[in-house]
Amino acid sequence: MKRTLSTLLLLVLGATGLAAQDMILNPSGGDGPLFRIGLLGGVISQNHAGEFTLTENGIRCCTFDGGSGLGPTVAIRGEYLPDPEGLLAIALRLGLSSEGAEFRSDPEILPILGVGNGLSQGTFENDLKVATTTLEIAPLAMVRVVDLDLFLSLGPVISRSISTRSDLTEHLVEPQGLTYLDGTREKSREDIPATLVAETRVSLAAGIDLRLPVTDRIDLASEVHYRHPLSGFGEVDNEWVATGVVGTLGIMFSL
Amino acid sequence: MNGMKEQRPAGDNAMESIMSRNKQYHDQQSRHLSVWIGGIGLRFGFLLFLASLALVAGAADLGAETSDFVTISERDLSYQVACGDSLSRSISIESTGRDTIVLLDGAIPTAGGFLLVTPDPATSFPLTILPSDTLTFTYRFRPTLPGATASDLLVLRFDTLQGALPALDTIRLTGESLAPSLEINPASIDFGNVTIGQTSCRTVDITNNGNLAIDLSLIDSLAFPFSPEGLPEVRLDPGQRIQVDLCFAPIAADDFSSRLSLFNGPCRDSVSLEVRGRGLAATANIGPVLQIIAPDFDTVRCGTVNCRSLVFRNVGTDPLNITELDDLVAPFSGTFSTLPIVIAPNDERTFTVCYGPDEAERVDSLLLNLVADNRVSLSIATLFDVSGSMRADFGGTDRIGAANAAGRSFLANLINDPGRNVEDEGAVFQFGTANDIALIDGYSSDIPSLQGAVPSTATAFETCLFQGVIFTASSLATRNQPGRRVMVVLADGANNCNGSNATLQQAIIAAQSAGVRVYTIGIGAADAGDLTALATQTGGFYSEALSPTELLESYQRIANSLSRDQQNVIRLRGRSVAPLLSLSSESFDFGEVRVGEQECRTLTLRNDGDAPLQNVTLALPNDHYTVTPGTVPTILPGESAAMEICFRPGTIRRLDREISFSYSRCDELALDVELEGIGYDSVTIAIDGSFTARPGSRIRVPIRLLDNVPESYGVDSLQITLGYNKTMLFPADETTPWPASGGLLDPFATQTLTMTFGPNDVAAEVAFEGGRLVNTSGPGELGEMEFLVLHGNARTTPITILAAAFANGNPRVGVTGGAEFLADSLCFHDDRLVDGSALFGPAAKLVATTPQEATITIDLPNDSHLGVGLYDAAGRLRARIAEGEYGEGMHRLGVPLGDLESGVYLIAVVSPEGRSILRVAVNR
Repeated sequence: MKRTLSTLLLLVLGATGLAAQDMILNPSGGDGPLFRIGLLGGVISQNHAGEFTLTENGIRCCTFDGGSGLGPTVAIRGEYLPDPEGLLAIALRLGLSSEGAEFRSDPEILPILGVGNGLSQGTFENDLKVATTTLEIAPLAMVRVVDLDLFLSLGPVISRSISTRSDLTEHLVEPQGLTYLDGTREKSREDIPATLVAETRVSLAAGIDLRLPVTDRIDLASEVHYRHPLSGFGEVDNEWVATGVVGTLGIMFSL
Repeated sequence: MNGMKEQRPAGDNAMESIMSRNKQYHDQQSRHLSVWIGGIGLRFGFLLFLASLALVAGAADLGAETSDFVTISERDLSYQVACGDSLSRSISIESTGRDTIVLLDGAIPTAGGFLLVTPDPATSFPLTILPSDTLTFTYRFRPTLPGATASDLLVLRFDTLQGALPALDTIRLTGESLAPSLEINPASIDFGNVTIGQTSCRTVDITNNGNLAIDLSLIDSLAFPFSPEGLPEVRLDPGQRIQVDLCFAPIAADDFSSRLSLFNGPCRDSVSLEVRGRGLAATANIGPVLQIIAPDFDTVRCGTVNCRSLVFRNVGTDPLNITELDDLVAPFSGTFSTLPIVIAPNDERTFTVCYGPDEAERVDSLLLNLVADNRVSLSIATLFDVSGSMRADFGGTDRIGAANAAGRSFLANLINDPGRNVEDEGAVFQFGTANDIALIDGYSSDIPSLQGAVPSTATAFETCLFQGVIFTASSLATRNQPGRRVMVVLADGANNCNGSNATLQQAIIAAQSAGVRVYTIGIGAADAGDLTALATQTGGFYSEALSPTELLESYQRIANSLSRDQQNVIRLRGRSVAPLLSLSSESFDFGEVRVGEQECRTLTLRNDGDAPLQNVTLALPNDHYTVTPGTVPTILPGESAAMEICFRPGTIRRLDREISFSYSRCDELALDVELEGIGYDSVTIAIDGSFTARPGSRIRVPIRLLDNVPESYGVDSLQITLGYNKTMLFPADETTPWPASGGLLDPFATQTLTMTFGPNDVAAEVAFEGGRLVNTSGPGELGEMEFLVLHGNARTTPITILAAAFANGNPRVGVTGGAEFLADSLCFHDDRLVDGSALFGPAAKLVATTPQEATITIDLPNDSHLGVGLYDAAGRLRARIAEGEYGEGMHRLGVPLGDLESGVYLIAVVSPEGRSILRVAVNR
């Protein structure tokens, strides 16, 4: 992980350095350096992998493995192009996303008293819905691909959850006739006090950014980034990771 | 109080201290009473409430154990005291607690001859006992009845001042009165007539039939001419007997008597022996006179043989021959020397005659017939012929004259010797014609008068011999006794009587019938044949005299023959006596007595016989039972003795035994007392602890045995039943629910699990067999029952021991403690508890619903008790649908809904195995 982060940092620093060199080499070349700032909005799709366990007061409840979710995301993005016609640029992206997914636990089998007062087994399943609101910061290095405003972006994303909600629903799978004491066969527990999601997560974002000038100072902007996790999604279970795809549209203003 | 003083340190006036404390106690009680009475009007209701509370508290606290706060030195005070003496014994009561206690009362026995000596019973109670104080009580036993036993129970009541009921303790007092009981056998001796200068001796037995030894001590000594005056200074132990020879040697012709008295202990009258005898002066020629001193056996214990002397003494002047003597027959025995037995004058022959009765409580007598030459008191009638032929010449005189002389000579032989018991009486008769037959003189011992009455003239014309004999025999029949009646007939002709038809045979029969021995003398023309027949057939003889001299000799020969072949009878008599033991009970059932404790019963032995009961052999069981005293004392006739039989089981189980009392009555007899008792013990098993586990895991719940169980208890099987929430725990292994754990139950080879389910709980009984439970090292673990933890309808369940039985219920098993199980380690546990009653309860389904009725079906797996009720949403019972026993199979029930308002209702179907809840909605 550290190596990945270091590499990412070097790439970002490298890109930033090249951009700065370009500005130094061409302090007043062309039209001069260009600053853009914009607002983007879209969705983030996550795909979770790896086992994680739900506990309550230290008691292991159930284990989940795999799940997916789709959430909104908005971002403010600032870009510095030393040479508006140049190859390199740097950007800083600040985002707010709603991440999360729905999970289904492994069946839990417990012994119960069954038919004929004999020994039997009860099967229990849990559905877990996790939603976390995340504040992200991502410094990106941008490389112009063609003589268009199409950039390849690369950089780390540091995500910090500002709120997390976990809703757990338990089902009595079998046997038939077995109920909870209130006569139902399903129990919903909303916003369970479980600390599932890591407060800070790091991922590597890579993707393309497209700028379409509308006017001299206004560009339509879009992002399609893939996020590869560099740290675990879970607070405790490091195996639990989430990959994500972010797609946004927005407007950027040149200063 | 002396005893208490002895327990106090020197210088500490304990008496004052105790009395002061007692006064304080009394004052305190009085003040409390006054205050209570004073406030009763104002606080009646409140006090009533307090009284109720006190009553409840008192009911809950049934009194403390005295062992918690006092030590009593002895609980059995046993006394064995000589009757008339006294014995004091003491007990001490030491306070071992830390609080002051009060001995309320009860230290005074109420009966039984026991007396509290110290402290003074009149002023001492209640007694306050400070911590570490020791009180001493002294009780005295002074028996006044010989051989009696006494028992009493002393009840001590302690007030612990802790508000509890008084604590009770008991002390048993048992006493036995010891006394000698002398017996002299025979109780009297008649030495009979003993000629002056002669000595006669007899043997007496002196026996101590009591239960205390005694030194022979004279109260009255024998007086001369009886000897010895005193007795040997010997000590007679219980049951011991000595024999003493007593003699009589008269020196004067007089009657003598004396008395020997022996001290018989302070509680019994003295015993005495009466002796008597007569001295006889020497006499002239009287012939042989037999004096028989026959023994009186008085009382002889059946089964034993008592021998006495039978004395034949000749107190006459001629040798005495005993020619015939009957043999002794049972129960009498003895051997006489070969007959004839010849006894010289003033000599005696002594034979030993024994009496050995073999039947109890009866009188035996035997008449011994003997024939001896013995001069006895006779009634003699002389019958003279006064027919005219008697005037005929007879050797120089006439026949009547010779008869008169010979008759007078004969009558001179009559004896009047009262000292020798020979007192003859005579009478003179005559016969001629029938009208001449008459008694001329007599009966009398006046010899001259009789001699003067002998006829000297003869004028009659006939000889009514047979009629005269009949007349005289009839007269003799009223005198003396048969065999001692003698008739001497003199006739000079054959029977010739016109006034009587009496025949010879009639005369003989008359004589025989009257027991008259007839001697006949014929002179002149007498019919020798008739006279011979008359004499020989009545025991006499016939003599013919041809001259006055021969006539005189004939009479003398008759006189001499009066002593010959006299029949005598000896009466032997004895009374058979024997003890007869009766028991107040033939069996005792002690019930159930805890091992180490004791239960006692009193057995009364009574002698219903007429001889002392001695030497009773007591066959005791060698275990579990004790008998006090260990030997049966001597019990006199009509008296009784008490024995205490105590059951102190050394182990458990039924411990029936038998006591056997063997004694000799006539034969050896035995009475058995069945002793029934059950020794039991109590042990306690305990379950405790808290157990926590996650559903799906296993727990082991240990059961501990808090007491020892010896090998002898034979606990070869046991059952333990645990109760708990059936939805939370389940035996981990139904074949071995109690796995080996190093516990005391490991030796048992077989475990059998039986589970009885209720709607929510289960009773899991495990029966252990094929081993033996032994625990000799104090509290230990019996074993552990292993459970699989289920996910059930609750988080916690108590685990209790519902029942436990060792072997056949003995030892009893007490249960203490309680364990608790907590299901844990399951997240959101409380919210996830499940109800599986629809699984294990009765399978009920709602199959149809109409506005008026719902129809349900219930499928019962086996015969079961079923209850069906209709409840509203608030849980109120609205209708009882069914209640009772239902058989295995499908049942269809209708539930009326017509009267119900709209809403949701619950139909609860409950069976012992569980319950099912059905919901039904009513819409109006």
